[in-house]
Amino acid sequence: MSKMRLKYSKEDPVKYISHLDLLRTFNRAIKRAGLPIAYSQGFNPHPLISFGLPLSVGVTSETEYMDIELQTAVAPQVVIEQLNKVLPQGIKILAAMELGNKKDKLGSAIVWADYRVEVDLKIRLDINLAEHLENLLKSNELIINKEGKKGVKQVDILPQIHSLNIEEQKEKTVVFTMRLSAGSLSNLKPEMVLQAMEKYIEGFEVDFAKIHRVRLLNKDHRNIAKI
Amino acid sequence: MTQKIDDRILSRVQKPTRYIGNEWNSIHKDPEKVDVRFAFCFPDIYEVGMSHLGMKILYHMLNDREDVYCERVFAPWVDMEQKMREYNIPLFALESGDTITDFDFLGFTLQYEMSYTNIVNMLDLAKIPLLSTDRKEGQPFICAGGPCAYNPEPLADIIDFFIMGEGEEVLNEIMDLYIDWKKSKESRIAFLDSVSQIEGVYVPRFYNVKYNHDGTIHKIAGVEEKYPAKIKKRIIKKLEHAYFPDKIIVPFMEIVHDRIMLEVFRGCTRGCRFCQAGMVYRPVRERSPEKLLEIAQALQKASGYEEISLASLSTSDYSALEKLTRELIEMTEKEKINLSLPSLRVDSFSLELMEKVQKVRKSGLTFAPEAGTQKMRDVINKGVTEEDLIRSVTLAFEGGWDNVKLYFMIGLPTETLEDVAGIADLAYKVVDAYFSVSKEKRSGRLAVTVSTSSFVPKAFTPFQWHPQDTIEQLREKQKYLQSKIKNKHIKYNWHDPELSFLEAVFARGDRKLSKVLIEAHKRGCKFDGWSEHFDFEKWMQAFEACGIDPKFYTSRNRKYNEVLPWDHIDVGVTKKFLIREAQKAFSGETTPHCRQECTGCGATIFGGGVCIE
Ligand code: SF4
Repeated sequence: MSKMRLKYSKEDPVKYISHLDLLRTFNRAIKRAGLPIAYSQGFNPHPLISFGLPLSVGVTSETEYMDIELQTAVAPQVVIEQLNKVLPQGIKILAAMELGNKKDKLGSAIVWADYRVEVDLKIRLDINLAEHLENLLKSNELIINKEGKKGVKQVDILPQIHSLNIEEQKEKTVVFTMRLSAGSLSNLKPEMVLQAMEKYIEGFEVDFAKIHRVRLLNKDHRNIAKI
Repeated sequence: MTQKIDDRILSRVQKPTRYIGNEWNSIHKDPEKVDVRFAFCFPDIYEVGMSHLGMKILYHMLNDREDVYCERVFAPWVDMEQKMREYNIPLFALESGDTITDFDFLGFTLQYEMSYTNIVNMLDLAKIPLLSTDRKEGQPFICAGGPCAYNPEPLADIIDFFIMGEGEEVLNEIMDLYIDWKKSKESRIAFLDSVSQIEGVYVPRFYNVKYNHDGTIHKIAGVEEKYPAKIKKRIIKKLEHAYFPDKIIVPFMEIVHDRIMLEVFRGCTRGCRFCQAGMVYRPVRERSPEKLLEIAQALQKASGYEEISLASLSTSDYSALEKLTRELIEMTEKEKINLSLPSLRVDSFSLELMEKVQKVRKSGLTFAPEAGTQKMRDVINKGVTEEDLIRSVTLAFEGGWDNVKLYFMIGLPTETLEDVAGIADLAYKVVDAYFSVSKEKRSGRLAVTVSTSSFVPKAFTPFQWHPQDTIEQLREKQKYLQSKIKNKHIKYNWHDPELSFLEAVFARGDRKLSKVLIEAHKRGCKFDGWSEHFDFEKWMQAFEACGIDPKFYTSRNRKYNEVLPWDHIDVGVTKKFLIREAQKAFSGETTPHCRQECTGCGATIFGGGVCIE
C-alpha cells in the first residue's frame, strides 16, 4: 500500500458540482487513468479516497487536497500526468506527494482557510469602508443569524475571523481577502462575513459575491501540506 | 472552458450542474470549422434526457463527422426558465453555451406524449416560430424522431420533418443532403422538398388531410405525386455492424440511469397486444455476446463508470443470455464494478444470477403479469400464467427475497370488475406463496406492492381501434381494487387517470391537435409528466378554446375501415395482421412469439433479424 496526497484546483464552471459529484468524478477518473487504487474490505468495496474540507457549491479553489491509497507505489509525477489526462476541464491535479507511513488525517489538520472574495455591491459606497471594517473587527462581537437544522440561531462570528482586508476597491466592486476558521471543529463561510457586513455597515449591500479559496492552513497558520 | 451563463443565474437555481456541460467525453468543436450545427433536444430535464441511450449513440455518431457539431439541449427546469425569461437568455446548447436560435437543426426525440408541451416551450425559449409554416429562411429546421414519431400527426404543424425508425443511417444521409443544399443556396422549401425523398423522412406540410363530416379522416395524400404515399420506417438490418460509440458522456450529477447501458437487442418477439414498442421495433435483431463484451470493455475504459446494465425490451429472451452474463460477471468482478440486471423472467437460472450480482441486499423483484385473470392475459397475449408467477415468486421467497413488485394494467379491452378483482386475488396468492415457504428458508418482512397503470390504446397495436375507459370508469376500477386489497403485506399504487386520458388523446390524435398543444403551452402547460406541474384544468380549457372534444380521440370505437391519422406511416407490421390480432384478442386466442412460429406480421419486408434467421 502506498498513500499519496494530491493537491488540485476546482474552477469555473465545475465549481457548481456538489462534493458528492466531485467524489464520483474522481472515482471515475482514477478508473479511467488505470491507477492501481486500493479498495476497502467487505461486501461492497469502494476505492480508498478521502478529502479534506468540502468546498461549497459555487466556490472555486486553487488548493484542495485529497488522499488516495494505491495498491502499488506509483511515482507522484506519473499520478499527476495520468489523472490530468482524464479529468474534465476545470479540475486539475497541481501536485502530489507520497505520504509514507504518516498517519495525519487531512480533515483534522485544517484550521484556517484564506479566501479571496470579489463583491459586486448594489450601490456604490461613499464611506470609508476600510475604517468601518477596522471598527467592526475591534468591536466585542459580530452577531449574525445562522440557519441551522433547528431554525435560526444567533451566533457571534468574531472569534472565527483571523483577518479581513480590502485588497482592491473600484466603483461598485470590492475585493476582500479573509482568513477564517475552517475544518470540522469550527468553520466560517465567507458568506457569513458578508452577511455581518451587510448588517453592521450601512449601505453595504451585496449584489453578488465570487468566492475563491486560496489556501488551507493548519493551527500554526502554515500550509497544511508541503505541496 | 465555457461558462457563458452568468453566475448570478447559475448560483440562484436548483442543481446548476444541469446547465454547465463540460462533462468528461462531451465534445467541443470550433463552430467556425463545421458546416452543420445540430442541437439534439430532449424535451425533459438533464437527468432524464442524459439517461436516454439513443441520444448517447446519435450524439457521438454525428460528432464523429468533422463537418457536424452536435450539442445537447434539455428543457430547463421551471426555476431556470424563469431566470432565462427574466434576463432574456434564449435557450442555449450545453457544449458551447451558444443560443440555438440560428443553429442548422433542432432534433427532438419523442419518448412520451406528455413531453410535447415542453417541445413547444423549448421552441418558444429558443425564439423560433412555433409553426413550421412561420419559419423563415435562415431559421433552423426542426426535426423529430423516436417512438412517438410513429404517430406524428399531433405535432404535424410544429415539426418540419419527422424521421421514422432508427436514426443511424438516415441522419447521415440528411446531413449530406443538407450540406449540398447549403452550398446551393436554394430556398428552405427546396430543402424540405428534397429531404422528403429520403426513405423514412416525413414532411407533414406536403400532405393534405381531408376530413369527413363526423371529424374522422377521409383521406391523407401527398400534395404532389412525388411525395411517397407511405413513409417506410428505417431500421439497421444488422445490429452487429451498427455504429456504437466507444465512449459516452460521464455526467457530474447523478442521472436517472447512471451507468453503462448495453443494448443487447432491438425489438421484441413477444407480441403483447397493448405494447407499441413490441410492434414498431420489429423485427428482433440481436448483438453477439462477443460484440457486447467488446462494447462493455471499451465503454468502461472510456468512462470509468462503476456499473453496467443490460438494456432491452425483454432481456430474458436474449438467445445468448447465459454466455453474456457469465462473461460480464467475470469482467465486472475483475474491474471491481457492478452489473445490474433488468427485470428478468424469474427462474432458477436468473435467481442464481441475481444471487451472484446482488451481493449485499436482496432488493425488490419485479413482475409484470399485466392482468389479473388468465382470460385477460390471453386477450393481451401476455404469455404468463398464474402457475408461472407463483412458481417464480416461490423460488424467489425460498432464495431469501421478501420484496415483490407486481405491475398491472387496468382498463384493458373486455375487462370486467371480476378481472379487476383478479389482480387482488393474484396478490393474495403471492402472499400465500410466501407463507407456504418454511420459516427457516424465507426471510424478513414480506412486502408486496401492486401498481396499476391505466391502459392507453396506442397506434400500431391491435388495440388501436379500441376506446379507452373513461376517467370515471378508471377511477371506479381503482377504487374497487383498493377495496379488495385489505392485507397489511400488500400496498396498492395507481396512476392518475387524467394523465392517462391525455396521453391517449395524443397517442391516437390527428393534426388538429397541434393547435391545442400551442394553446396549452400559452396557458402555461409544461412538464405534464411531472405530477407537480400537470394541470388538467388548463388542458381542458385549451381543448375548449380550440373547439376540440378530447373524447373524440379516446372514447370512440373506430371501425377497421376508418382512415387512421397514421395510416401513411409504414412500420412493417401490416393492418391485416393487427386486425387479425384484434379479432383473436376478442375471442381470447393467443399468438405464438416469433421464435416459436412466424405469424406473418409484415416485418419481413426489412429483410433482417429474427424473420430471416
Ligand atoms: S415477420 Fe414473423 S418473425 Fe418477423 S417479426 Fe413478424 S411475426 Fe416475427
